[in-house]
Parts: sequence; C-alpha cells; structure tokens
Amino acid sequence: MNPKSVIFCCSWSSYPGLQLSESLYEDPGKQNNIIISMCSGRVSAELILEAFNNDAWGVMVASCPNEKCEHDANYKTRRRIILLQKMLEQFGIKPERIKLEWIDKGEAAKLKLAIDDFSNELRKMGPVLSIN
Amino acid sequence: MQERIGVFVCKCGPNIGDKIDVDTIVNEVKNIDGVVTAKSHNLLCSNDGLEFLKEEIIKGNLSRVVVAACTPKMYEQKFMNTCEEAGLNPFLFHMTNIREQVAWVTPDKILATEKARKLCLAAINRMSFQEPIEKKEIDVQPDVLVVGGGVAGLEATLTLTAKGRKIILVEKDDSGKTETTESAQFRRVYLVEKSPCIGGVSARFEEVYQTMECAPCMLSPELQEVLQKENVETLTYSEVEEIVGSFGNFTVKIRRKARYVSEEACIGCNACFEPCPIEIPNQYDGGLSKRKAIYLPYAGALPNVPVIDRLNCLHLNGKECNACEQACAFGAINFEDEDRLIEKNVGAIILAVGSKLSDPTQFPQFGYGKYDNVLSAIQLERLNASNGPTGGKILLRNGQEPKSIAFIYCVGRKEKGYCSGICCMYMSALAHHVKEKLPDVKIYSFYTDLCLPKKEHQKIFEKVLAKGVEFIRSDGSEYVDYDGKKLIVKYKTESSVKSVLADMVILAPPVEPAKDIEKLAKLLDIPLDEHGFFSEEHILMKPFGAPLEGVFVVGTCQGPKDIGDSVAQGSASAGKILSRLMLGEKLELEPIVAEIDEEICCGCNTCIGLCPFSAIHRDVEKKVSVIDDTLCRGCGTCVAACPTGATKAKNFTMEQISAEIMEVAK
Repeated sequence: MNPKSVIFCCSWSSYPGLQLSESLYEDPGKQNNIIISMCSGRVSAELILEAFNNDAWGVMVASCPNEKCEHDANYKTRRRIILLQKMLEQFGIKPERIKLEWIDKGEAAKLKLAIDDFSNELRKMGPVLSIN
Repeated sequence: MQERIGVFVCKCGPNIGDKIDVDTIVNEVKNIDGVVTAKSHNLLCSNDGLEFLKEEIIKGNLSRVVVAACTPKMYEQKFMNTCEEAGLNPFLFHMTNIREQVAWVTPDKILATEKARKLCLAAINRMSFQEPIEKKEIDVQPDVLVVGGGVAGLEATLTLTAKGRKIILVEKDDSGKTETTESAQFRRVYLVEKSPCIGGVSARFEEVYQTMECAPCMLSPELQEVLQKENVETLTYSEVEEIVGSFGNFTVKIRRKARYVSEEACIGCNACFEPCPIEIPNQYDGGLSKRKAIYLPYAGALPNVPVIDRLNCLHLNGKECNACEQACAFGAINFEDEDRLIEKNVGAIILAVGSKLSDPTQFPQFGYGKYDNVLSAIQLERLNASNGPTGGKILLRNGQEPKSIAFIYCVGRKEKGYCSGICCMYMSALAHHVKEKLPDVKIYSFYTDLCLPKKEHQKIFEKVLAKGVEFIRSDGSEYVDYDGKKLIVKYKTESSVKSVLADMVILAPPVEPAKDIEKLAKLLDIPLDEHGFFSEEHILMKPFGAPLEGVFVVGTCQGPKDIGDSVAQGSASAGKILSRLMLGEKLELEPIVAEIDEEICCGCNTCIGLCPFSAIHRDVEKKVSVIDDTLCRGCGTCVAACPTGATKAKNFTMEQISAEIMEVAK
C-alpha cells in the first residue's frame, strides 16, 4: 500500500515554488496531494483532523521559514500544530504524522525532498488504525 | 437548484497529454451528478482555448466551472476573466493543478492518471460549496500626507501633484436625459515638516557628491515650487499627533506649533534678529555658531519666515522684552500665537522623516566633546558652507587655518553593526573641498573598509587620491589623544601601533534613525528594524512599502542612503499611490478576505491580537469582532484561531477545503 498524505501549501511561498519543479521532483506514485491554503495560518486544527478523518496517513504543512512569513502566521501555525500533536497522541496518532516544514519561495527542491522524506516515514508507520 | 458544472481538462500540448490519460478522466467525470459538460482541450490558455471555454460556459448555461491544467499561479486570473466575460462570477470557478503537481513529477502514466483524477474529483466536490464573491469598491481620498520635507518627501510631493485630472461625469436623470459635467480635480498634498524650514539635511550641504554641486542651489527650485504650488499645503514647524483609519481613508491630526511670527505678514527681511538679546548655539550648524531666540535655521532657509524659540525667548518666559516686535515694520510678531490642531483626511501616507548622524560622544575614544577641534562630519560640512558659521572658511576654533586634518571613517560601525554606506563618499567629497580651499593642508584618511559601490564613486575617490590625500587602512581601533598643542591619532596596522599629529580631526559617525521614527511607528503600529529604522515590507521587492497598506517609508528613515536613492524612493512611492488612488475613481478591494458572522461571534477577541494587519477591531456595542475589508489580506490566521467558527475565509472555507480533502485522501 502506498502512503497517503495531504500537504497544505502556502499560496504565497511554497506553492508558487512548484512552478520551478519541472524535472526537480519525482514522485514515484506516492499518494501525496497538495492543497492550497492561502497562508499556512489558515490551516486550522479542523482541517488537519479532516484529513485524518478521510484516512490520510499524515499531514504536512509547508509554511514560510523564520521571519519570512508576511503575517508571522508560521509561528502561530507552529504553536497550533504542537498542541494538536500532543492532543492526537492521546488518541493513538503519532505526533510524527503531522509535520510542519518551513519552505521559502522557489525552494522546490527542498519541498520535493521534504515530501519524499515524509512519504518514507509514513510508509514505515503505515496507515492510522481506527481511532473510534 | 441543481448546479450545472463544466469540467475542462487541458492537455498543455504534450506536457499533460502525454503523461496523463486525459480521455479516461473526462469520460469518468462526465457521469458525476451535476456535471453537464466535461471536455478536454489541447491548450486552454491559448486564445482559441479561452474562446472555447467562454462558448462552452454560455452554451451549456454553466453555473460552476472546473479547469484542470497548470499551476493557478500562472493562468488562474486569465480563466477567471474569461468566466466573467461569459457572465459567470469568477469565484464560481476553481482551478486544479495537474501539471506541476502530477504530470511533471509522476513518470508512471497509470499512477499519474489516478492522481489527476483525484484532484479533478476534489475540485468537482468543492463546487457545491463555491460562493460568488462580489468585488467591493470604496470611496477613497486621493490626497496624501507627506511627513518630512527632505529630498525624499519633496520629490514625492512634486510627483504626486504634477498633474490634475479632467473628470467627465455623465449623469442620467429620471426622464432619461443625460447631462455631462466636466471638472478638473487636483490631488492635494499636506507636507508636514517638524523643523521651521523644508529641504532637510541636504539643504545644509555646500557641495554634494557625486556632482559636487551646491545643494541649496540644486534644491531651491524644488523648494520654491513646493511652496508656491496651489495644491500643496506646506506645514512647517508641525508634527503629526494622531493617525486613524486605513488605506484610502486616513484621518490625521497635525499640531501646528506656535511660530509667533505670522507667515502672511512677514516679508523675510530678518530685521528682528539683530535686536534680540538672547544668544544660544545653533543646532542647525552643529552648535558651531550662535543664533537668536528669533531665528532662521540658516541663511536662505525656506520658507523665509523666522520662528521664535519659546524656551529661550524672554517675552514668552514672562520677562519684559519686545525687541523683535519693535524692530518689525510689518507687525508680523504675534506673542499671543498658540499651537493649533488641524485635521486632514488623506488616502495614503508617505513617511520621509529622515535620519541623523549619531552623536560622536557615544564613542569616547575619539575625544569628541573633550577636544575642541574634533568635529563631526556635519560640522565640517557647515564650516565649508558659504551660509555657515565661518562663511565657508575652514578654521580651527582659535580662528587659524588647520595645517593637518585627520579624517576618521567608520566611526561606530562596529558598535552599531551596520555600514552607513554614504560616509566614504561624503568624507571623500569633504576632503576634496578642503583641499580646494587649503591646498597645502595635509589630510590623513583612516578607514577600515572602503565602500564605493556606484558608477561615479570610484572616480571621485581617485580624484581625491590624486589630490594627495593619504589613505591609511587601520583595524578600526583609532584613538585620539591631545598633547596640549596637537591632536594625536593613534592607530593600529597589521604589524604595529603608529600615530600621526593633526590640528583637526573629522569623524564620520553612523547614520541613525531620527527621533520621530519611534513615535510615528507607534501612531501607525508599524514595525521598526533591529537598528531602529522603519521596516520595509520586503527588502528586495517592496523596499519602501511599510507592512501597512497605503503607508510608505522612503528615504533615510528606512535605512541610510544618499540623495539620489532617497529621491528615487520618494518618486517611486508617489508612483505607487498614483496608480492606486486615482482621482475621481473608487478603490477596488482584495476580494478574498475573511469575514465574521456576528451572530456566531462570541466576542472573545482572540482574532484581534492575532491579525498581522490590525484589520480586526471590536464593535463595543455589539460585543463582537469586525474585520475591516480595506486592511484584510485574506491570510486566514483569524479563521484558524476562531473557537466558535464565526470567522470565514472567503473562497477557502472549511467546507470547500474539506470537500477537497475528502476526495484526495480517499
């Protein structure tokens, strides 16, 4: 089974970087799906839970690096994600299944690497067992 | 009502067509409930493709449109415009990226097709939750506030007021008759300057690099123009006290400090100076000369109307003196004058409050303030100026000409942590002027690094070198001592400690933010950088926009720069304003913003502190948070933080994104 993940990309930084991605990034059939989320600040806990609710193995949020976010929302996202990781751990979802990556405009190669690494980690972890 | 969805998959020539089985996808999505049209096209972004899309929308009477093609960052706007042309609200359209996200990165065609299929299904699933968003327009004030009358502020003022605009208004009355009225509209600029005169620091320099031109001569046509322009209101000796509102509609309170001299009555004869019994050091000459309590900062300062310094004037401090009043033949002196608070409405604000040279006493190793003939560069600048304290003669404090001068560059650079970038050039220019006036003077120039970045700079440096100025590289640990007769500059080279004797030492202290910067930053709630200058929105791409819409930080208040760069920024900020705050037109707002449902909002204020643009305020009566459309940029931070779900990010709602997740994670 291939790992399934949802990747939230910032509409202003990490996502535009994809334009440079031709031949940089090869996804050998992993089920990674990118969703544009305006700023990473928009990625609420509900949206991440929604992904798990729909059988995602993991969720990655690609946000601007330190000091680069126009809205400083990357820090707010980080706080939110740390809290969510602690909470989900109690329901048997490993914190490693939620990942925050800091990726700047034009860092397509880094995004590719981050997605690849994340997919490999998820492959080791396998799908989330039912939490009901 | 059942939605009529149209799905269009672009092959992007071979880019998508060869990597993804487009026909399979088209055939599958055709059968989805609500999809009435599903078609592929070879190149949807071409003129042909756009025409095809438009026809399909009209022909199929489509109420929702999905385009699966390249990254939305490239052609989303084009497709949205096409939807609009076809009569469909552009936000009822959604674009999904099957090129960068799939075709280019997935070599296996079967897997690629599966992935693209999911993205298409996600987009279709999103369609039930798409909502039309209407573009909003607001009335805006085209007038502009410029704070600071230095070169940057002047240039901005002149660019903004260069031309008015003819407005033709066509109105139809009830009977169907049309009436055309023509009117000319002019943009007003309020130029607020703290000091009694405009022209900033530059107007005090005799000759400036790179042209070695006399700055007052270079500037005076501009200064005159600003003062005479009908649509510029120059408010000298004034300060901004309060700013409220947002881009397009700011309300500003300005304090006009009492000048005690009527600007209307005074003709600028200066007869009032002589009889004034008070003498104090003139800060505009770096304290080298004396001025009276009624004074002009320097000869030739514009507007040519003196000001009475209320701290030092005898009359204003309860003593009996009205010497200036008696000397004035025009009745211009008014001891009853009071501060006035005036209010102006403007659409945009340009902050050009400049900078200053640091006080060299902060760096005690150079003996500034301890030894008479250790001067700051600006003091030498004033000595050199024909309207300065010595009438342009370079003299020591005892009135004699110096035989040797040591110039010390990079003063305080290590302490401050940045290079001011202009000192190498102005020090070289000063050395050049001194050599012209005193050809036999020996000049030593101590530097740690030379900064000569522009196309003219090296030439000037070489010219100075050719004049016999001795450049000595040291490690920045210069030290000034005094032997009772001469100043001794001790310095370290790589191998040893050496010293030279000099009659005069000139220091180039760092350029630092002006005092007002902090106050203005607080008034507007905009950030300062680590050195205390205004932060720009983006150092490379938006180097003079403050991170608050409609506010610009130009010239040296944003960071040290020379006259040319300051002028360029002043002009550029005016251009930004001219292109958005059009005379006689409304301002179109960013459509993708957040909104708060006041029925659901519990008034917890969580969002207010989180908003990076200060776009949310509390409605005290209703006890809810309200988002200001003009300031919101749609980042969605408040949406994610709202505990009750009252906040909605338009076009990125919970339902819309969940609908996408549901399909892609399936």
